[in-house]
Amino acid sequence: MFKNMFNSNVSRRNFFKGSAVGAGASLLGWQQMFGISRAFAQETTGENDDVQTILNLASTAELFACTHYLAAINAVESGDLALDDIQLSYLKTGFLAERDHYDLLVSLGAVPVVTEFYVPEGLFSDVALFAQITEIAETTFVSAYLAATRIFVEMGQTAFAVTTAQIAGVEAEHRALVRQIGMLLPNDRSYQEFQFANVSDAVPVLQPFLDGSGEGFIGPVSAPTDDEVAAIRAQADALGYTGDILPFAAMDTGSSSSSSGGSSTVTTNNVIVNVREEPTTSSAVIGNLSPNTTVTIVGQRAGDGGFTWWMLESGGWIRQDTASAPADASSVPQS
Amino acid sequence: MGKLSRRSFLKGSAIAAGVSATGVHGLFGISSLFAQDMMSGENDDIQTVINLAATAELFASTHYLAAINGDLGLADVQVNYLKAAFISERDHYDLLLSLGAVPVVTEFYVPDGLFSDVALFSQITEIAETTFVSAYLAATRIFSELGEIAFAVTTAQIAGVESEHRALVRQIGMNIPNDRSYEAFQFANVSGAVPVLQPFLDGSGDGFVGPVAPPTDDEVAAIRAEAGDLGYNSAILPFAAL
Repeated sequence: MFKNMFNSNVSRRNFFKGSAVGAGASLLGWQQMFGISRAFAQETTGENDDVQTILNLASTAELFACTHYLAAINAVESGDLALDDIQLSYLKTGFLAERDHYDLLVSLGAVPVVTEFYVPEGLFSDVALFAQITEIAETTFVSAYLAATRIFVEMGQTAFAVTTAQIAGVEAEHRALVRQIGMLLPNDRSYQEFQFANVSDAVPVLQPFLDGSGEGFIGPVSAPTDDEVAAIRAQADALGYTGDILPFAAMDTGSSSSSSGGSSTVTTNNVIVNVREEPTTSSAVIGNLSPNTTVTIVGQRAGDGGFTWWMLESGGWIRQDTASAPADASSVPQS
Repeated sequence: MGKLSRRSFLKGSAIAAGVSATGVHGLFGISSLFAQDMMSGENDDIQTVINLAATAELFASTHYLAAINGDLGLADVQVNYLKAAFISERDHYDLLLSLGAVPVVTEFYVPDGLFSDVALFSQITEIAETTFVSAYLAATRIFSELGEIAFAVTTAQIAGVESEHRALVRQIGMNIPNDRSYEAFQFANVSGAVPVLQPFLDGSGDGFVGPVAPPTDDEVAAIRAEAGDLGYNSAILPFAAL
């Protein structure tokens, strides 16, 4: 399918014309197209993406990455993309990682904003073009996850901040290897690049892959089927893939709190924290918590500023960025 | 120069989690470290984090320079990976020093034969780089809990670079380089990495030789002078400096 679809070339200039430097892409168009109206509004106001926006955009990127790598794998196996067997194995393990990320994000409530994708014509028959485009994509993924790390730190969501850092590292590996495929120095930097304040800032770079708006882009291509995913997963052991490393958010780190019966505990940061009557900063302050105080939470609600608010067992609400929370805090009931 | 088996290395290093904490304390003057480890639930303080990270980066610089100058029989393109890695480790070290870090040791030890046996070099370097990744992820966790956003992101940036190194040394050892979905979070604290790195710092590992002095300024300058030819991108800043 892909070998017939992607059989000509697109210049780097054309790609950028329609993509990365298309930062002036119509915001209105994006908002209408993907229902992510918050994302750009937050970018321009200096506010952070909310958690749902991060999850949705990250899952979209991961689903695109899976689709991209599967197309490349099929192109190598059909003889269209001239990579050797070792390089093919890199694509397969890259696929597995991206799919694991996608599954994690979906388990957290992510909904990808699109499920079909577009690519430059000829992408999977031209090794140099494949390396160039994939490097741009992987560099974008790294930066987007670093943006997510920044946001989760600001929110006091350490488990997710570390998890997105773990994923950024894996995307960095992919980035290095596709540079190597393109005959470039793979480890060419001292710091992974922080390009975006928000995850949503990555959207203009990825836009032509999502809506085909780039010049010379063709598609759409459907995401991998369950059978296609299973076929690659079945090769994991033979590839030497390590499937047992957990994201920090899923680890039992023996932290000071745990979820039980729909409740969890959080510990206030090293500041005095206001307890409010309702989950908004415009609500009355009905008390406060001392620094580094552990309290039980029994509910949560999305509040103003894109923050989640924790409902205290003892009554009242505190905003999530005022306290550190274990990963399982996100599982307390919506209130 | 004899060859050190994986079993011997592990005996003296990574799996020696039961290594005497007292010995490490006495050697490095980091008596607070183990008390701060997972068992107590306390975090390393910032000075401990940057001192240990600087030590690891200085060790990594020393290690890569020895490999560049060694008798490993690597292809030119692989030597370039080592040179680029050297530059990045040195950049990390310089950043940490600028923040007030003081490495706890400045001379290092390595398994005998490390720089003449590609398989051993790959194996040992992978262990070191995996440890660095985990240590920086621990630092991200700690800085996040402290609300130190700039440093949490910066350590995540560095963890990503160490991840690249990890992948490439696995490749040098003929292993699949990108073998995981998540970089491993092995340590709650940066100091949790000390037992793994201990034999490199004090020579306590079975079959370790040394000490080896860190790179001189001239040696650093000589590698840095090749950055342009290597295709190295020196323009990317840590978030803390943006």
